[in-house]
Amino acid sequence: MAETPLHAAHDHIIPPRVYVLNLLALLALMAATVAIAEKVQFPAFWIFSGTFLNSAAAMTIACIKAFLVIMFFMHIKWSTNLTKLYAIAGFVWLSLLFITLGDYMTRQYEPAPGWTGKQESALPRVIGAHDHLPNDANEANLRPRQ
Amino acid sequence: MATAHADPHDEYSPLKHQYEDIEQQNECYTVGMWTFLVTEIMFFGALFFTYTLYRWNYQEDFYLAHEHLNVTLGAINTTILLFSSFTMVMGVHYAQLKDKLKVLGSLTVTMGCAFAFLVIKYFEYAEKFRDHLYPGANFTTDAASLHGANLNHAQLFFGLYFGMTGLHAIHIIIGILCIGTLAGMWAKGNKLVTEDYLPTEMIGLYWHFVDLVWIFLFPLMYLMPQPYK
Repeated sequence: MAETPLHAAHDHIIPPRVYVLNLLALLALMAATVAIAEKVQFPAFWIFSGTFLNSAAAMTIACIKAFLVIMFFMHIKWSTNLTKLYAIAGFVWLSLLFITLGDYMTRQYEPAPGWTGKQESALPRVIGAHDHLPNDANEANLRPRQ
Repeated sequence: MATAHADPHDEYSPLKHQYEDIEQQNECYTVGMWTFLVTEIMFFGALFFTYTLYRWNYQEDFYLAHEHLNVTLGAINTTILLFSSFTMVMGVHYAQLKDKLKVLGSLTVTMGCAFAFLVIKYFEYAEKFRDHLYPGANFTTDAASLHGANLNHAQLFFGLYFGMTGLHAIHIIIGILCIGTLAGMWAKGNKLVTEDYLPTEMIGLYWHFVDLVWIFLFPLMYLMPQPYK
């Protein structure tokens, strides 16, 4: 196509064929996700359990469906760069939110190996820098543990 | 003095005076709508995060509790919503072509689908209420209804189920009201919508977002894999 996509959404009208194909793709993906969930039990692979792989497959299909809806039904494919930026911004925030799972999911590993509660193992400090402090003051800097 | 009909300033123009041209106006409208949708993503995102956290911790009980959900009804609802998204986008397409009758037809079908979704949701909810599966003091202690799941963890699951699908259903109801208002404006020939397709497009964006939320709710709530087999 020769025209620049910048103002294309306002200039040209998308043929309904695109929407029909998108609907068919979405329905096929929905059928696929139901079929996988009902009939397929993935075996464990590498560090992932079969349960995890089944969930990952369902979520991957959901993301593809979301992508199709956003691109074609919500016209992001033909929209201006500013609109694209706004559309992406929401999902960037969502991924930032889910990064905090890194905290929740690793709490079972605390206290970390080698974390004895002694001052020298908490943070890399100059050896002897806290020797003038009483012991309980050093302990107060550490996080409480069970 | 020219007559009112000859005055070019009396001609209706969809372009508002504060915008340079129609493209800038359209971009402003669309970006404004997307800003609202970003706040909706943040709002639903926190709920999806909560769900992820509890499902990760109580996989076994969430799986057992989810067995009470009807996958067939969920799949029918997904199909209905995907189809309504299609009819909505066709409404926007006909709004671009200024084909009033087809716009009204598309919007009516969209509202019909939304209503059908709510009716099916009503039957699903009624089944849960019958079995006392709503969280609270009256939550069931019957092992058969719980499918053997831990009572507290099953309550968490049904709390999230009712919270998330309930909020989604509220969005559907607001969607019906918005699309209904839009259809009313089209039927009356209000130039705000007939001369400019962007209002229809923006209601469409909202409707696709509601569809988007359900695309994630459906596999998360109805299609849980069996843990550790």
